[in-house]
Amino acid sequence: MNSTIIPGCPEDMSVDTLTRWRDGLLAASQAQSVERHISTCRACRAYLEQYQQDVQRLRRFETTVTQQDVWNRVQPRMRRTVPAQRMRAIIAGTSAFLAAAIMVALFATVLHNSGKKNVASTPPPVVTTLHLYALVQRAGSFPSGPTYSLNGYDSTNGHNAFTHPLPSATFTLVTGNHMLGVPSIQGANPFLLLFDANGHQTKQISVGTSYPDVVLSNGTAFFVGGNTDIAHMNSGAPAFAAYDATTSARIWQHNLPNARTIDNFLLVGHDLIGNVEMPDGPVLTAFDSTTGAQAWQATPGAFTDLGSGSIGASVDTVFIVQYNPSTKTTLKSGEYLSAYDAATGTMRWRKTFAPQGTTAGVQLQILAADQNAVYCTVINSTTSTNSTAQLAAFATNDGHAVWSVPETDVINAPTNGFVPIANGTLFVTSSAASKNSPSASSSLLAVNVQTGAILWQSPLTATPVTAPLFFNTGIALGMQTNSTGGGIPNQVSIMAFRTTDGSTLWKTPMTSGSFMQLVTLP
Amino acid sequence: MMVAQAPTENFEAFFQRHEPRITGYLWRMTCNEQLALDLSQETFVRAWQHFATIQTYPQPAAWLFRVATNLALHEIRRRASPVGAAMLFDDANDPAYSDPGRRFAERDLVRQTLLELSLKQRALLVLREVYGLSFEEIAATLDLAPDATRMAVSRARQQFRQVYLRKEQDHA
Repeated sequence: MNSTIIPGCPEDMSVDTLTRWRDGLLAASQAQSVERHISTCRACRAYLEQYQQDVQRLRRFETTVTQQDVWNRVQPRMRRTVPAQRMRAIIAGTSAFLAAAIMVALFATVLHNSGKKNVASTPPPVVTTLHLYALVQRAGSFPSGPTYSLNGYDSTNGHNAFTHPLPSATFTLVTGNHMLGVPSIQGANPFLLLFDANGHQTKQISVGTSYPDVVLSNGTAFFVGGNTDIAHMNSGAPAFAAYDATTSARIWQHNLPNARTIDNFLLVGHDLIGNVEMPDGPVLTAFDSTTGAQAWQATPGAFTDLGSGSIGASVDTVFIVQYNPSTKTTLKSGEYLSAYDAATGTMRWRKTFAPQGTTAGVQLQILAADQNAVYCTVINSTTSTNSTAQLAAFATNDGHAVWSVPETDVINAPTNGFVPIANGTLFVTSSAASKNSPSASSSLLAVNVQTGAILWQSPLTATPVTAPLFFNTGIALGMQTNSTGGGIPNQVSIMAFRTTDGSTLWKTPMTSGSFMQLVTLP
Repeated sequence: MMVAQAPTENFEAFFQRHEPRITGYLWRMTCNEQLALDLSQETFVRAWQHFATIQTYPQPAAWLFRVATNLALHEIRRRASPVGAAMLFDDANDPAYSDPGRRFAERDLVRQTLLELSLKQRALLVLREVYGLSFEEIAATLDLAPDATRMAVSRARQQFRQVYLRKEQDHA
């Protein structure tokens, strides 16, 4: 038993207990006790942080030997070496005399074949093709339900590189650290599946609570979620947690037993920032991503909009959308857009969007943000059936409107993440405002982020069902032609467009199903 | 279903997939790039000889780590002297690289610290913290009792921390 005590810990926590907690080896009750202690003990948090720094140092200590170096030395020896199993098979199946003769012949054959077939005469192929990855859902029959898969596509031509089946309860697809992550549940056991760029499963991290939201960064999987709201189909106390993506070990966990939900969180700089719904109202809160210690907490003092596009961030600023409490109780709801300093939680500015018209309200959604501005779609529902839409940029420093472009169609806000900004261009999709023909006039637009000028607009032949995805040479979209009924499933495809003019690069039809997400590896 | 251990996976794909981890492991075990290259080569030649069997294993990486560990232990003991040659002064160590002083100093400290740990401690630490093997997998790779492995990893972590801190203070 290792009884070393954590230096400076007022409760004499042992190194052994702390490392067992980190490795997930403690019983649930003891783990909870340790978590409560860590949340208040600076010495234990410092120990865990040093520990994590050592791990990062070891991982950064990389060799300069390349795969090509090793292959160049392995390959010639393969040509001279007969695989053992072949040799045994030869010996077992022949008489001693014949074996000697046949071995000579087969040995030569093996060498010949291995040189041509099993051993490449050129270096091993290196993955140079950038893949696009899709989380795809296909309808299933009762009671098995829908099936899910992780598909990889060659970004140069859209060819399907691999299809990997996923568990039946799969939420989302995230990327980071050159990995793909899929949070899932099998039975009552929630976990995160990690895949490499070629679609090989590399790890399964088991977690105690169902975490629908995951961020992969800096060798760590950050989990947020769990709530007591039955409507969200989750259970367990809300918590923030960080797990080592290599070892599956838990780095820290911060439980929020009094919170109702945690929604819409982001990793901004070094902090994990998100909305936490407390019984007496929402708070915007930040946790240090290394230790899990709370960095700051702000009380926005208004109803937080929990829908998509309600939080965004640039380098040092967090933007949130809130309902205007003075109008929330009426049909004429207005909204706030607020900016907070990501390092301190201090509110920088708040902008009010008052409803126009007589019976409806205004809806604001964050599309993306950079160091200059936050880009939003503003929808004014002038009556119960009519609305006007604007694409607008508000300055990061003081919230003034940098530009605003009236749109007859509605700019689509992504349900996951943000729309891309690349080379000074914002890429968005729009759909016709008329609810009766949602796919009639969908478009992909390229917008200059400095001026709001529309650089090009490309009509789409089907409804975009994913946010635009920027990759090295183009913009990809998941598209869907809705079922016409009668058991005919949705037809889905991936389309890629040139960033320069919106012309089509390629289109890959898929077997029927529906898209959930489209990502690439950063 | 596409899985890494499919019987049809050919040796090139097998090599491509596993080589970085094995060479990286041997580098951290030996702190000598030439020796790591030699031993990685030897590990994969042996894998080629037994490939028909290995590719049926549910976790062929465990076999590779085991062979690589045995080769490293044998070679380092045979040399009966500390290994650890000068590092190549390539792009990664180039002074023109971002924050080169700190980067190179840390690299040298990690190298010195690893060399001060026992071979077993290096293996325990690297297999767990860099390559994420479970305690059961580490026990099987290093021929240790499963119950003792976790404690041994814990001691290796503490040893690394103490030695690194001491060397950091020496260099300050």
